[in-house]
Amino acid sequence: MKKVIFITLLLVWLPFLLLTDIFPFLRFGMFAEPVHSVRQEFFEIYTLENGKLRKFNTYLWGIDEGVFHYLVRKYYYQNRMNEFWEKICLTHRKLYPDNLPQTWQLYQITLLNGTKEKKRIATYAECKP
Amino acid sequence: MPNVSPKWKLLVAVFLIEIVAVAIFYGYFRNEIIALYQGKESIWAGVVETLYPRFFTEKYRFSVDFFLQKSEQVLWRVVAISWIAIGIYFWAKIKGFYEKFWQTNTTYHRVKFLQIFLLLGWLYESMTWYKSLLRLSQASVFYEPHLLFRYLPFPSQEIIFYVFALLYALSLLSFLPKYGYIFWFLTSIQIIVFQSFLYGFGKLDHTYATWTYVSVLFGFLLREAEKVKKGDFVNAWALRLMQVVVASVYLQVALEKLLISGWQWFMPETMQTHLFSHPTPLGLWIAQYPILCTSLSMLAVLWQLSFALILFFPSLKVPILLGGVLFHTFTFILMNVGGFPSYWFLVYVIWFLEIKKLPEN
Repeated sequence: MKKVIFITLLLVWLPFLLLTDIFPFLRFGMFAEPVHSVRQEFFEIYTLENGKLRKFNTYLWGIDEGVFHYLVRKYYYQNRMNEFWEKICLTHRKLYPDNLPQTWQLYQITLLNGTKEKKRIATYAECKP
Repeated sequence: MPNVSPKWKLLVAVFLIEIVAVAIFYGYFRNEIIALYQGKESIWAGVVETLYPRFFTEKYRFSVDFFLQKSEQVLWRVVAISWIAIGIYFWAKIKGFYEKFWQTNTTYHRVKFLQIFLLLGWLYESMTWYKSLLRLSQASVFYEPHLLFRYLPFPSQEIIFYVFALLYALSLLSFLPKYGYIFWFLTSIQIIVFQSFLYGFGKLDHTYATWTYVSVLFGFLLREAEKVKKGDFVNAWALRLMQVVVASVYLQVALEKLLISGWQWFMPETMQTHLFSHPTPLGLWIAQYPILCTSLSMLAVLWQLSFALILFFPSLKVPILLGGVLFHTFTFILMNVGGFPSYWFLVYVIWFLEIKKLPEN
C-alpha cells in the first residue's frame, strides 16, 4: 500500500515538476501561458479550381478543424511545411485519387485586438503521384 | 560518530542533491537552453524534445527569457515541492494524521457502484472514440505520439474494431469475483492507449484527466473488495489516494498558471483572449468588461488553490465540491470547453463513498 501511494504521487507530480506534455501524465492546466495582447491565430486551407477559391473541409481527411489548426501550427513554426505538404498529398491521394485539385493555398488568419488579418503563407501545386 | 536516524540522513541527502542540481543547472544547462533556442547543436536536443515537445514550436512565439524562466521554475519546483512534501510528511507524522488519513472504509456494494459508474462513463465515450479513431486512421501519417507510444503504430480500421471488442470483453471480466481487478487494470491500460492514439495528432484534451487517474486507481479498491465478503467493510485507502490525486491535479493547475504567467494571468487580456478564442454569447458579453474578466480569473485560481484543503478539513467538502461543479459548468457555458456534465465533477462521487465507522465484530 505504501509503495502504491508513493509511486502514484510520484507519477502525478513528476510531470508537473518537469513541465511536460507527455501523455498520459500530461499537464492539466489549459490556458496557463501569458497573454500580452488579445491575439488569436487560425489556419485555413483552400483549393483553387477554375479560378475559384474554395475552403477545404479538412474533416474529409479525418481531421477536424481543431486538430488541423494544431498540426499546421506545429509544422509551420518548426519550418517543416514541405513535410506537412507531402503528408497532406499522401492522405488526399489515398482517399480521393480521382479528385486532385490543381492548386492549394494555406492561409493564416490573425485577430489582433479586434483587427482581422488574412495572410497566404503557402501555395502548393497539384499533388502528383 | 553520532547515531543519525535514516530519516535525517534522507533529509541531508535531499539537501545535498538539490544544491548540486542547482549548481549544474546555472553552470551548464542554462547555456544549453540558450544554444538550443538559437538553433545551435546540443546533445540535449533529443531530451528536450521528449520532455517538452512544444519547445521547438513555441520558441518562435516566445523570447528565450520565457524558456529560461520556465526551466528555472522546473528546478525550483523540484526543490520547493520536495521540501513541502517532507514538511507535510513530518507534520502529519507528528500529529498522527498520516496513519489516520489512510484508515477509512467503504462497502462492497459502494465499490461495485463506483465500478459501474466509471465503466458507464468509459463505455459512453468509447462510442465517440471508435468513430474518431476510424476517422483519424485516414490521416495516420500525421500521428506523432510521445515516449513509449511512438513504438506503437496507429491501428488500422480492422484492428480498431477488434481492440474495442477486447475493451468490452475486459470490462465485463472485471466483474469476476476473483482476479477481476487484473481485468480492470487491463481495461485501464487500454483506455490510456486509446487516449494516446487520439492525442497523438498534436492536440491534447484534458477532458478525462481526473477520470482516468481515478479509474486506474480503482483497480486497487477492487482488489481490496475482492478480499472481503459481500456484507463486510472494504479497506478504502485507494479511495483516499484517488482524493489526493484529484486534489493534486487542481493544485497543479493553479500553480502552473501562477508560475508560468505570474500576475499577468490576472490581467483582463488573458481571460478576454480565451473568451474570444472559444466564443459563446455569454463569454463574449463578459469579455467586454475587464473587471469581470479579472474577477473571474482570480476566483478560478483561488478555488483551484483551495481545493486541497478538502483533504485536511472534511467539513469544507460541500462548498469546495459545489465550487467545482460551478467552475466546470461555467467553463462550458462561457467557453464551450469540456462538456456538461463534466467528467471533472462527476468524479467527485469519490468523496461520498466512505464509511467512517469501523466494522463491528
